[in-house]
Amino acid sequence: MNQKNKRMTWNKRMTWSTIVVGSLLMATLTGCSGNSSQQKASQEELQQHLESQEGSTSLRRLVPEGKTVTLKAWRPTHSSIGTLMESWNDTLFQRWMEEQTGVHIDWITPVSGTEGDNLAMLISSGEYPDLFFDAGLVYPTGAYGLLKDGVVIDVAKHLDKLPNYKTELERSSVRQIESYSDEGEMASLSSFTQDDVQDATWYGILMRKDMLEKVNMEAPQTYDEWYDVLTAFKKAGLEKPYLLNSDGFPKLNMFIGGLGFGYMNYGGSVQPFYQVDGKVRYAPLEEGFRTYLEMMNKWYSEGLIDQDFLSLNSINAEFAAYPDPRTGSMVAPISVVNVIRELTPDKNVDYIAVPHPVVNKGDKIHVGTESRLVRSGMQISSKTKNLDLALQWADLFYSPDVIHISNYGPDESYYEKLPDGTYRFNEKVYANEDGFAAIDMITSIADAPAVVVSNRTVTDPWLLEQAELYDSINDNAYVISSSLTLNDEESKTYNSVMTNIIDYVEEMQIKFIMGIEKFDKYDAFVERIRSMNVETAMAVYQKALDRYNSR
Amino acid sequence: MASDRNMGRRLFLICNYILLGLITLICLMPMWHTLAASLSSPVELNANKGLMFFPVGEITFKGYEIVFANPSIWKSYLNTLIYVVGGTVLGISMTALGAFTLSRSYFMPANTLMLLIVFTMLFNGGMIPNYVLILKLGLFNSAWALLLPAAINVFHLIILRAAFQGVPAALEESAKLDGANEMQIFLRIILPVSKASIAVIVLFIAVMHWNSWFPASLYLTDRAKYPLQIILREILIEGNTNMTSGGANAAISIYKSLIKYCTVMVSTLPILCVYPFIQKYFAKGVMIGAIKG
Amino acid sequence: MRALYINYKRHKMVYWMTLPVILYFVVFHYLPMAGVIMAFQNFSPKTGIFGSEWVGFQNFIDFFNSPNFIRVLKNTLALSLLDLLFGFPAPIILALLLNEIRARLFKRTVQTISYLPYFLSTAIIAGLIHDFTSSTGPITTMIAPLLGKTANLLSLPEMFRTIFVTTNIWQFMGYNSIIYLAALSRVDSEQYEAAKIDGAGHWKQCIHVTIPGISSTIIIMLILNLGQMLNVNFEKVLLLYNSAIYETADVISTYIYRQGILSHNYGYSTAVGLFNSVIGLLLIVSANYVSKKYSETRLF
Repeated sequence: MNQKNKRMTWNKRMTWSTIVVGSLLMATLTGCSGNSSQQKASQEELQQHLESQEGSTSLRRLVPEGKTVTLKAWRPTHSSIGTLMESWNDTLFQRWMEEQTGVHIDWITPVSGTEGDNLAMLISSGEYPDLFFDAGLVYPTGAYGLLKDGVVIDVAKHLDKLPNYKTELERSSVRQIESYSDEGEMASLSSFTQDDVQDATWYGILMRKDMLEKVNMEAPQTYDEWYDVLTAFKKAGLEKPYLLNSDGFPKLNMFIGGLGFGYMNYGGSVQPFYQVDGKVRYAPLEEGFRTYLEMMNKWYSEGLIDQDFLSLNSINAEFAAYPDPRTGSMVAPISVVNVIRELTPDKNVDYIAVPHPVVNKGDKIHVGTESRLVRSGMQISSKTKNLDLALQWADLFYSPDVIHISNYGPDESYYEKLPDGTYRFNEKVYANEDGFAAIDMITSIADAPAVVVSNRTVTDPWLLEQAELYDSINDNAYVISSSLTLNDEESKTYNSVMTNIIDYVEEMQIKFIMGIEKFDKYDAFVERIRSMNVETAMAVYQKALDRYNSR
Repeated sequence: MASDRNMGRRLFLICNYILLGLITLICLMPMWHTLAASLSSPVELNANKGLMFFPVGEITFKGYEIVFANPSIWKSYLNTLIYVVGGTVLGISMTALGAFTLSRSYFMPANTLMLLIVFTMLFNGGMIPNYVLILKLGLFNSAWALLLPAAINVFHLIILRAAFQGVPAALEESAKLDGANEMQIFLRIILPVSKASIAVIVLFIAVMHWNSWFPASLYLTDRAKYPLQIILREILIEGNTNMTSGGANAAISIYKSLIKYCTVMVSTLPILCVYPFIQKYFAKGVMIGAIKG
Repeated sequence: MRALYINYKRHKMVYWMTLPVILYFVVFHYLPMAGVIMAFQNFSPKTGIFGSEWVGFQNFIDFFNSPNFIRVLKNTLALSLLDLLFGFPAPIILALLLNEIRARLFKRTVQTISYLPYFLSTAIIAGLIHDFTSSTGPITTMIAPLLGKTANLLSLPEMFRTIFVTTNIWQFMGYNSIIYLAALSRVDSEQYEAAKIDGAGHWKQCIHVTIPGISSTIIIMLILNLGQMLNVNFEKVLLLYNSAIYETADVISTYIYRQGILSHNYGYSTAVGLFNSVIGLLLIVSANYVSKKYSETRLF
């Protein structure tokens, strides 16, 4: 009897929880439905409306008055989403655009870190959105690959319907060279830098100012001087005179440019080759590479390099290491200095920017960081049912009426006009009361300028001063443009060869630096790279470079 | 003889207590470290190597402030709660049902089915076909996309099946004589006597749903439906992508390791609080065994 | 077939009760399994599963011919075998030790705390391991006399397997012991009484009553573990290893991951996954066969 009772309660409890859960589930499942008060425009009246204003360059409604229409757009997320706003629709600029044009955007925003998989699945399911933002950054073959695979349209074929974009495109030759592929196609509406002025370098080599004063030395300029300074730091009791990244190479060619070799870094994706006088080169085959490894090996064995540098294998680990008072020098975003000043309890700790080291004083370097003037921008889906609408909407981003607002937002209280006629975000953005990061604030105001004012997001004049130090001795002569394109066959050859070589080199360079491999094996190392057919990959790249140079 | 044995027994027990105490300490250590770290000052935390018994630097709730300043976090807590409860109810019902029928010796295809089921543990089509399936079933962007595909975990099914097999056949026989059908046997006999195993599987399923984030990241597009784990991942991981676009976000990155520890506390505390209540059923399981004897 | 029909007639209810379970596996497991054909394709998202170019066994050949195939296979096997050897018995021993404890509060406390590490994300665990094994970390300092040098332990190839397996035990021992504790709670107490009457001490009781009582659980868990043999905890290896210790630390999944950064080849990684699965299937089937032959227990 007693046991039966127990069983009853058990069963009852199960039933109750089922009901509660069921109703909760139902609530979430049915809770979401549209709530738009405006009427959707029919396909016919929309088409009529669009045709009536084809060729117009001014800001205008793209949908008949009182009606609305929705486009779908794929776009990676940003740290401001979830903190400052709920979706891309909440930026001041996008709200303004929707008010002005009557076009509502339905954003598909994957969770950060899953963008690549998300895009691949979206494409393989065949359900494309109308527009893509920054999809080229995560698609294995880039923006151009999306065009080759037929996912997006060739913009070059529709230039007559893009009057504003056409005007901007034809403003300078560099814009055209970088926007068209070798075959004269255009995978996206490129994003330009206003007046073709480069952004300042925002990564730099930083050294402890207080330590330099303590050991009574000048900021080093050559590699030999660096050695002396680091040795002095070590003697003065600093545990980690120099921080090195876990792959044995500092970020963005900083520090190695003076030895005459480098890598290409295109917004995070690294390509192994550079070029000298139109000829493709590969760093590990160059003498400077060996010099670098031998130098690092010496520094490491003498304790001048952080003995745990192998642990700096993620952005989080790197940023944790920057404000460490045991550190003497490092390659880091220059703006990190402000944070260190604010956060470090020891108020003596301060950093200055020091120039790229060179072999002999006065040498120039040719591979620094590359800020690109032309980037790949909005892409339009090949399956969109609203091609004309998408084209006209995208073109508006290049309209003189929109460019300023897309850079600084529709609310004038967030920026001010400087005496020289330029604009600058004000304290409401940089020192906002809620403590949001400036870049998040800026993004929530003006998220998608297609013609970008250079140095728009630089928060501090000090940063610009420091950046000049780097840019003044660097002429970027060895740089290969990111708009160089490989065709299908070429990229297959390139990938099959270079994947293994890059993996092998990364393993070996660390072993040389740490002294696990001795330098009498160095020639065998180079020989092995050659035997892995590096020349084939270089030849492929050379062909693409030649095509690019003859554009 | 007997005293020797007693001595040995006592020695064993002493060693056992010491050993288990040590294990407890070693297992407690990282969580304690995490708690201490989550209250530490960010810069000193970054510089600190090694085990932390107390927060370093001035005690600060800055990390928790950042985590809870996220407007989505409470909503996502509620979502996770719904997914966990819904997923667990659905999961345990389906798993128990399968475990029951597949454990019946008189159910002829049981072994063949079991083989086919174990097979799915090893082979899967990967992300893309699953994505297309969810899309075609019309489950996209709904809670069902998280709950239905995870309804049965083969591992859990196997465990529960083994437990049901262990229920004395005599119990079933006598119920049959009373005219009970298989459904009634399942509900009235098998489930009640297997409470301990059910409790374990409930815990396993709940933990699985609590920690799950990948399906949600694939199948949900509406932020309002995100579970807690996705919001926490966003808080942690974001900034990495932005690092390439400008240096203005450095400040928040300095807080990253602090935030990392805070998110762990935020995401594990609730499930840790629930555990003792489920653990009670393990003890009851022991008791039932005793009464039976 | 006829026997099956008779069986159905007699136990209709059981068949109908199984139906939702079968449906579930067909829809959510067998339908998407069509995706394994990607292993034989040069898969491109654009053309999808049914339109991609067929390459036969090329993906497998590429994998077997890749320069580090032997190394990563060896490392994967070494890590899994060590994990099986030390990591598998650990939760059983913990459960048996806990079973001897009569003080209920102590028992519960140990139980609850021992599964704490399971709830820490791999990123946190890896961060702790990095800190503790850094050149100045507490573990490094502790074992420095044994090694004869102080160096970052994660930069020494000979240390990686030890670090990986030890931390695995610590991470999963408590959580995995839950299953054995539940099994222990079902061991018939009559048998203990009987053993006591026969004059068996605690040790003998353990050998003759307790362990046989949970042996079927142990065997099932072992078979399942064998099936997952080649699936080493990918994320953990990725967060702990570095190019200086690839010799011992680079496993199949991490190698594929690095290869994928440049090419993002779904066909290739599906092929490698399929290779893992086939090995797993072979192991699981043969383990099941052996177990069926020498004991009553089997999985299917």
